[in-house]
Amino acid sequence: MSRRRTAAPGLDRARELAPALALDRVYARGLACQLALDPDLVLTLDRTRELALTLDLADTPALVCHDRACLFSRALLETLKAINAVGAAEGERATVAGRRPSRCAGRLAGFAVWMVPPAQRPRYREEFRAELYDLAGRRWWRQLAYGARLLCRACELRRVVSGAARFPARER
Amino acid sequence: MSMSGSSGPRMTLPTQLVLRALLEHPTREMYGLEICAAAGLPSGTIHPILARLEQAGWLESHWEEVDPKEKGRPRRRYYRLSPDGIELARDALARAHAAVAKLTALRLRPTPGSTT
Repeated sequence: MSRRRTAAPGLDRARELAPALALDRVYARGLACQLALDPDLVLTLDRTRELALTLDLADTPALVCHDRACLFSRALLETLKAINAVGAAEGERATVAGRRPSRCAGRLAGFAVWMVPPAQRPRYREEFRAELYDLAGRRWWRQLAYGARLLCRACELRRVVSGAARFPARER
Repeated sequence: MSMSGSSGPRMTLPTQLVLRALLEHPTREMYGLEICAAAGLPSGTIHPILARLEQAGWLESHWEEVDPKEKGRPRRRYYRLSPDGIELARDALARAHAAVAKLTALRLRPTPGSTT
């Protein structure tokens, strides 16, 4: 019982300190993120730290926190540099691959392709898909409108394309 | 709306817009969406027009020479006016413009007996 009584104030103190420590961790992470986005700030802080060390302020909590933040930020900076180092083509590829066209729009385009004569389907499938990929960054309803318009004009396209197949003499 | 000439594709308004867009830079190759944007037409509406013009021999098209896997997207189909197509398109647009001008002149001519 007596041991519990002596431990209680310690626990209370720990409970009081816990939010402060959590806040400190969050602050360190937030600062790290901010620093990662601003390399000049990291350099400035490095200089500040050097000054603090020369003034014998190494053990102050603020400086410890800044040290941790700088450590995190350097790791983040390295990651950002690695991402930026990837070539332009690779970057474009990553962006395009990241943005997939809307599935519904793809289906509508698929129906439009299906209405075209079989001999022309591979061509229009690829052509419509390429255009859908270009629209992939736009809002979903724009992509859907594109698919709907393709479908609306599929009959006309079929007529034009099959006319060419049936009457090659008419081509010129 | 169609104003069919003696030969070639029907000169509908969207067809004229597409031809105008292509004639602005006759040597430049453009793909479907680019042509739509240049002509001021909604995307996905011009494939029948392009097919008709291609059949008539006014347009030439070819696939983009890229590796789809490398680019991360399918190949585009690029279109360009053929050398003959440039002349034919200019003629057809001029004819269509003349026809419209004639119609406008007829409509604007005051009718006999009218006070204005």
